[in-house]
Amino acid sequence: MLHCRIPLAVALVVAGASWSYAEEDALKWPFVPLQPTPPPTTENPAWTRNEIDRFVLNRLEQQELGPAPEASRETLIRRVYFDLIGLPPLPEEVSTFVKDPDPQAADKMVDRLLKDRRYGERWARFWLDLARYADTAGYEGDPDLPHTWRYRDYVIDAFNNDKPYDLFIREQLAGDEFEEILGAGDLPSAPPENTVAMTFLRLAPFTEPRGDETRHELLSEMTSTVGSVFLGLTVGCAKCHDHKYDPIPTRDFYRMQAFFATIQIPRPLPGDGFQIGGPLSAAFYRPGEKEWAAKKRATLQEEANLANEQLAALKKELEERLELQSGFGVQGMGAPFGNDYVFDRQPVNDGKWHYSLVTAQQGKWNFYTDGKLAPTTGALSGTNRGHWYGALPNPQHISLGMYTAGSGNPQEAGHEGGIAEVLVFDHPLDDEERQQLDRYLSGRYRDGPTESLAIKGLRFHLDAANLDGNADTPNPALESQVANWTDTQSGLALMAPDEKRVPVLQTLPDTDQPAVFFTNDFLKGELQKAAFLQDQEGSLVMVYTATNQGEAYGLEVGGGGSMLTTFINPAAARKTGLAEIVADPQNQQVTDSERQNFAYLSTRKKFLPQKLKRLSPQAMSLRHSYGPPYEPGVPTSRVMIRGEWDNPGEVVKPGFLSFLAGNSKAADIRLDPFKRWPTRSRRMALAQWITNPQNPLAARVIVNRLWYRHFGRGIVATPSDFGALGSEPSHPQLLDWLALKLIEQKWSLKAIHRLICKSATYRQATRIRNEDANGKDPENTLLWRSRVRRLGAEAIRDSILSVSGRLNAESYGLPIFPPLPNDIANRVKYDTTKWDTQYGPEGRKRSIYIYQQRTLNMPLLQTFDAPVCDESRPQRRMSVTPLQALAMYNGNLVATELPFFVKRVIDRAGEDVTSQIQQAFQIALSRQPTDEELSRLQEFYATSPTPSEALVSLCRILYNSNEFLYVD
Amino acid sequence: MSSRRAFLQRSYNGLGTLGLASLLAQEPPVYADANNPFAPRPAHLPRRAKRCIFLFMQGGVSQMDSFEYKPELNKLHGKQLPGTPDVRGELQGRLSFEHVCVGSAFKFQQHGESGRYISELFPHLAKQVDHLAFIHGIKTDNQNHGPSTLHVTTGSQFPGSPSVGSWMSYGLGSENQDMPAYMVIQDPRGAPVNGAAVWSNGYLPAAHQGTLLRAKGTPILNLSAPQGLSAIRQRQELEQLRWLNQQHLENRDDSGELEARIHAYELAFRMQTRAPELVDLSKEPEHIHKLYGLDRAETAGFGRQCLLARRLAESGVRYTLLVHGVQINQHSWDDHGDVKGRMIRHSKEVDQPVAALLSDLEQRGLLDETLVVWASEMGRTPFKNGKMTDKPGRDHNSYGLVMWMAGGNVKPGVTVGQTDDFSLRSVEEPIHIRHVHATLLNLMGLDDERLRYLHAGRNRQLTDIGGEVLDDLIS
Repeated sequence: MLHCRIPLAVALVVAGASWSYAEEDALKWPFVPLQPTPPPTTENPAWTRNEIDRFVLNRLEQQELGPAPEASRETLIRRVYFDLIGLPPLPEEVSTFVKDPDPQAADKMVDRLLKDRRYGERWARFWLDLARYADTAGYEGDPDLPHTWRYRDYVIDAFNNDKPYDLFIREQLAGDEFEEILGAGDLPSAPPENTVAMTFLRLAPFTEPRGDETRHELLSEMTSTVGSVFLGLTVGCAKCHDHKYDPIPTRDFYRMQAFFATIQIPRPLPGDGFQIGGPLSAAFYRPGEKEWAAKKRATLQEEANLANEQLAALKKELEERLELQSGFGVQGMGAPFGNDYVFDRQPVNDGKWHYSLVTAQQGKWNFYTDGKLAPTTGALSGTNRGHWYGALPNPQHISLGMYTAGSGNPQEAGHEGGIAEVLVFDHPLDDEERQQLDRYLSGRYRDGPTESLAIKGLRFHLDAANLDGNADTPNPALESQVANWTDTQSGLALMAPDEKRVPVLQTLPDTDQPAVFFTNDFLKGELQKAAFLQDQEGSLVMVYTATNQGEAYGLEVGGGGSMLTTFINPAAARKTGLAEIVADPQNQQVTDSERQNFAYLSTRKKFLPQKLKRLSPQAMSLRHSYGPPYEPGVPTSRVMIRGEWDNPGEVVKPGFLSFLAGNSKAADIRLDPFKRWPTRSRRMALAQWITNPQNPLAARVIVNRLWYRHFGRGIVATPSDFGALGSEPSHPQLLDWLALKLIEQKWSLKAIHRLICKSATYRQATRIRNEDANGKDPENTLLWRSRVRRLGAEAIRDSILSVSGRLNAESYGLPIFPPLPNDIANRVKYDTTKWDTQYGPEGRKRSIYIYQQRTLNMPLLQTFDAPVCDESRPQRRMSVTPLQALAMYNGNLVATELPFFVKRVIDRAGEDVTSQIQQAFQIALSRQPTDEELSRLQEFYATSPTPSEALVSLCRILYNSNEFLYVD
Repeated sequence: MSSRRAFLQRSYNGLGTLGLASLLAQEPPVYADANNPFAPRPAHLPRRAKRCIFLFMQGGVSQMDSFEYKPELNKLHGKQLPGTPDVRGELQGRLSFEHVCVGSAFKFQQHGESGRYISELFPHLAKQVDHLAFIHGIKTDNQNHGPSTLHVTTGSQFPGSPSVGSWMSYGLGSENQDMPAYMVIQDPRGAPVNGAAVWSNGYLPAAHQGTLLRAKGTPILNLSAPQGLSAIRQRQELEQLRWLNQQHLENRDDSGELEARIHAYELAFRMQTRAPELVDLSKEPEHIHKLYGLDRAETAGFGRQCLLARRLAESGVRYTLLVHGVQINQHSWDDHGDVKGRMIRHSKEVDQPVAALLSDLEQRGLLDETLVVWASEMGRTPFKNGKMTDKPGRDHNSYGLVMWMAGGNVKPGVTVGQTDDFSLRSVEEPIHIRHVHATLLNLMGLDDERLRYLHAGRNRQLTDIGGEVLDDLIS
């Protein structure tokens, strides 16, 4: 629920004030119509370059202040580049510009950059913040929204093509209601671009639906977001009570909400989580996009196939190099065992058959694999307290093939391979008995002389060759599913408790002896007659094969959260499994490229379906309901008292904010002549009202947003709140003049950028001392100089890559997944199906393309204040923290890119120290070092161990310098 | 503005001329500049609690099997609830299905001087009962795990709001300039529902986000120096960096942020030395390891989290969030089935460590100034939907959350809020989570009505629309 709290002092003043704002007082700026004001005259017309300057200078002169001198060309080019395209200029571009004798050079640069497609990539981000854009739905499971990236590309296009802002609004709010319907026939389908544009309305976080409550919250969120994004009004404050400051009664909130009442959100596709809803079809419409998608699909499929082969080869190679082996062991867990385990490092996961024997005696386990005492038992043990089944306080089940942690319910770590025989004895086998056992097993499984096993104390016998323990019953056919298994000697019944988990009967390799084969399968039985459990000492023999690369459990007896179980663990044999060993950055036996390659190859298959889904021509969009008889008709809209979904009040009709419209009438909804589609055209009515040139807010709000992004402060300092609680405008007449200009220029945002960037106001220097001005206007509201401004998080990452020369300039397309620092993906993951780390060039595209996962923000971006948006974000905080310092100095991105920056310097400068310093400055800071800087750094080189070490240090220092992150 | 200017002066005259090496060796200069997000800030109210440890149990702890004794419920085991239960809100539609009451399988006994009933599942904690104050029947606005987890941890069921720890960091800053003010230690087995949104800074500056203490490698992300860079060399680099940044400061009127960034580098590199020491548990004696249960598998995980929390509290970290449980997993407290078996397992994992944390803090004289909070995202129903099974469980009840607090200015032994005989609903007006949040802030010396942040046109606060402090809980 959105709430607004009144500061106490103010509350006293307005308490009891009734809804009479519009009647008693004349409306105040900014709710009055746009005021055409001629730009004022100034005392220093020579300084002014366009009308903006006359408004600004006029205010300065009133305070007896003057503007700052123009910034140097080195400063200016950096400022304009970061402002318009979000990247630093190339050294060549700087030198060309600095030397250009043309007095119009700066203007031409502005024109050129506004045509650069990187402009759209820069400015779309600001809109995506407002649109609360993300690629996942948030909340539980944070499910993937597979098609929202198309909205991101739509926004980039809109900026690059300078889509008229009024059209931009109409497409996002009512893209499905453009075409007028005059006669019969089906509804015209919306152009795909419009369908994609309407993703805007679907971008709020979304949790498990709960009927009417969810719909109420959904429509309310749309209403609030539309109000703040397009009108700069905190309409959402009126959801629960009349707005405390602005003349927006609750009734108006629900009148506005009623415009959205007929939307229809597609149902989820079969197989998708119900949390996210479904997409609408929207053909690929961007030039070349369809072909690109087809090619991409084919490439992905090929890659996945190829990856499988490559992975097998790589695994084999690594396993050999790392001498990866397996282990077999026994483990007791839960009370009273704690975590009591022991195992033997033997290569038992080779698919061949083995037998293992464990004895428990006087508080110690001993281990024998294939008849030999384990040499490593002591070293590879936990507590090795040698508990036996008799120590289980509450044995309830026996299970084969799965780990249940004593619960009887299968969990992870299933056995892959077969189990031919399990023998349990009530005493530890002595030497002679072990030899007898060996002879018996050799005879049975290795074609030795047949010998029966006559060791006393055998209580319990499982034999897959004799499924029901009855010698007269013939064995079932191989490959048959083992459904019920009753051991006649122990009376124990084992069954597959889950029809999806069905072990099958096969034979052990190189024998004709049947064995039950498990692939994450599971057999389970209740313990009733297994009297051996009372014993405190014993022996266990297992005859088995295993192919597991990870942990797997064999026989478990347990209950009440305690268990004693056997396990196979290649991971434990080397402390961790192959994947983990390879992933460990400390492991010197694996190269970084092998590490990345391994991770990449082993996940191709997993990520393929998700990517193919993203490439299907769909949009996470919505449409209006078809209405009766197909879909819901027009619902009755009501005020919801206190904003509660189940507390309906008076009936309302869709209508515009009364204080702006001057009345509370129902809006005129333009239906088709036969009223066949009564649900249609509501949102279009709203969109047209918002974009009506008579509406004072849409143009003012967007122009102010552009101003804010160019100057670091809006003319109204609260870009999404033009209401009474918002900030007083610093130059209201200028804002109106710009807003009118926008409308006059057919809502061209580029026209406004051009005016701003070509103004003398914008070109002022930052580094000046002006005691007088600083005293009168310490916040620089009047713009007596420019502000030094920190780069946004995205520009920081893009600059690091740009400086190293490794930024992938490719535009548009699927979301990217840059490498995350070390274990962060694992630590914060909810599941592993989303972040498909790209170590190659794809992961080095610009930050606007990074997958926006609501539960996992990239730490570097997050630390520099980039949100993954959950709600509309009109502004970015620019904080300064020690964690930022750590990220830049020690973090993985700078560490990865540093050698490439160094190489770039050497390529341009060779071995000459002075030249290296100059080139490094030029690349990173777009300027030459001062004499003082040069001499000091030369000295630094001289005192460094080697010149190449000095260069590495220099590059790291520049990446970390304030000047790299702050633009003058 | 004035403070920024003042800082400028100070740094030119003082800090600015000091070499970095000497700074690294010295006690951190505490500077109360608006640009230092970790600078300690005065509390609104006089309170003993200086720091908070928040224990969050993911999944929804069954209150009638842990802390709320409901003998009447046991009598109804296997039967329907009597009368027509209140089915408003999140239970709507659910009770129209068949349901059966599920009595608690556990014995309750009175403990301590307060004579409070505690389930046999918490034998260790029962010994600490006289430190605890309970709140029964807390209500959140949504019964899904995602929104209700956010509601308890951030004050809003919708993502995007700052978490409780972020508000405390924002309100009070840090007592320790070598560590972030707000640390998070999650379950070693995985993340909670909503992932990092649970410790998000929301719309507050990024400095106030929870910093994840990592289980492996360096305790804080990016803490180790670049590979192959010696400490001496690093210092030399930082000297150069500092000098360059000083050059860059020249001739500016608006250098506050730039100054702050220079300072941030100094903080960062103190953190680099200090943080690894803080998390090095090998320095703790064996009896402490045993006290927290580090020697046993079932308690080792949360025991380590609790012991780390004590060390962080000791060193002045303002707020530490511990998460126990991993959503949709056998490790979650979301016991829809086999509530008996699962509660045994969950409680075993946390009982001894939590009790150890309380007694250890007390022994060190820290409990008095440390607020310890136990929470989950919801309570559970007294019944299960559908027919009785051999291992029945309990469903979600967003009216039944039980929390307890200890230490700080908490009045021990009291219970606030009372639920019906089945802990389905509160007897009187339910205690909304926002009142609990207002109380938490109050216990830390913060006034919810004054701890505000202007965001997107609204003065936001933790409790959203304001909460009433539960005075009975405060000594």
